[in-house]
Amino acid sequence: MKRKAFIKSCGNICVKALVASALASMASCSPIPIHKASENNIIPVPLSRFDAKNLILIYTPWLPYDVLLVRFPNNQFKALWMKCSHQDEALTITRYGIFCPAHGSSFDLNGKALHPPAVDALKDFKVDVKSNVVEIHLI
Amino acid sequence: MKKVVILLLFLPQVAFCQIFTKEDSLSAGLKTSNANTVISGYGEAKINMDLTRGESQANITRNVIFLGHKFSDQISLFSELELENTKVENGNQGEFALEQLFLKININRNNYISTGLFLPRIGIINENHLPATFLGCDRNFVESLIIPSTWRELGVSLNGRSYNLPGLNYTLSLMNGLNASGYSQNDGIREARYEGSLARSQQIAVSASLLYYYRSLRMQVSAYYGGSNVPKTDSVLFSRNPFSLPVALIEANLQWTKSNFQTKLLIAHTRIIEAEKMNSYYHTDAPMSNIGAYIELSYNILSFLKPKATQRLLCFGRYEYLNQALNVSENTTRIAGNEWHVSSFGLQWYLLKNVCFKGDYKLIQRNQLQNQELLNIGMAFHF
Repeated sequence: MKRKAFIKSCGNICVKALVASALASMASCSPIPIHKASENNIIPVPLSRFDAKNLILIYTPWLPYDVLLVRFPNNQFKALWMKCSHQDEALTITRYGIFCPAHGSSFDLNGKALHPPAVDALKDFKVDVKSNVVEIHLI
Repeated sequence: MKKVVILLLFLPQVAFCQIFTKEDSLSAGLKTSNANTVISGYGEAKINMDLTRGESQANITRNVIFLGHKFSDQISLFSELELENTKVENGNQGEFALEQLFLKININRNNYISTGLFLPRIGIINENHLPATFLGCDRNFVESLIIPSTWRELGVSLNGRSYNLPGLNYTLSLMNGLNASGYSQNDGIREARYEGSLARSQQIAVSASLLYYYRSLRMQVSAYYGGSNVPKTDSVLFSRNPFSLPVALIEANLQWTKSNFQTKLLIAHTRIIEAEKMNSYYHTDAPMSNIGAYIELSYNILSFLKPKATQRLLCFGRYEYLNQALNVSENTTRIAGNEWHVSSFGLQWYLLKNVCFKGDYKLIQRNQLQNQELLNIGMAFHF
């Protein structure tokens, strides 16, 4: 009986901690800026769009997936195609990494596959910086 | 005039470079051109040594062929055909079954519908059951006996994610209910699954999940509530509605990953709400509730011994607790060995990210039963 009560209380604590931490972290979390791109094979993104977290989600409504533009501290950029290299699932982006909600794969902000089942890196696009604009070349 | 000719010659190319056409995106691989079929698969094999009984068994646990077809950017087919234990013959417990067969229909960028035979998002292994992604030669007991992975049913599921709360994903599923004659203390709700085969659909079930990524933490809660098929012969004893003889399952899990270290924590609890009625009708021993939890720790020791190695050697430990008869009705006797304490330790050597060899030791302690020690070695792959 004591064991039952212990398990029950442990379960309750786990669920409550989970919900509380999720709510707390959600409250402290701001959305990643979204840049809506016009239908073009070169997407210009003003540098001024970057906030302190250095991520911009490029919304490309004419394509099946978005593009994530990442600015690294040395002012290098990476434009990543948000399609899981495992089974084409649309990826979930946070400020700390890129995740596949379906099968648990994860990628770093360079697009490198960190955890299986994904094996291959994410597709990336050529990026040019011209004065105050970052250009993403989709082809 | 010369300038005009040069301009006319170059104008189409300038236009081509600037306007994103369908053909451009096709050639860049960003859109699907025509039919697009993918074949992949996974498999696992193991040698199981029962150190307590002095018995040993070698087996190809499963081989699965995945076939996917992209009809368009909006509609895709996913299917998995599984063969367990190499062949299906009387007495060898082999199984040849469809593990998934669903159409994925994109509604918009953030939401899609799966319809057909699909795996609801409950627990960790149910949706992500590739053998090279879980630790040890076998799936853990909690996600086999409490959450009956791989649990697939026929229905429709809405899967989505949020732009406004980065990291938040959700699912909401409607599917057929369970088979009431299959509940037992030994197998929980496992033998009550229809798995898409001649499922009675008078009773239905709903399940929902919230999955959230925060920093290195993956948090998930999921719940299932569904009816069980009601015998036709007795409408007095059993109420007849879509949720008659209900079963409720709630599950929560956490995964924390920091470079080469990973922790998993999962708890699941099932209630068979009218177990007593079902037991008296079917002469079964279904529990009113069962529970299971585990904690698992793993570390890539090659990152310490050989920091530049691309291979990984994970050492892991897992502790599981299960109670297959947490509550039983007055007229039901608890089975011997309903409480499990399972300690597992092992190594998993990844030659590649999707090819690994496994070895583990398990100590199973169950009340009223002799302790059991198992030693397993195996291999797993997916492609």
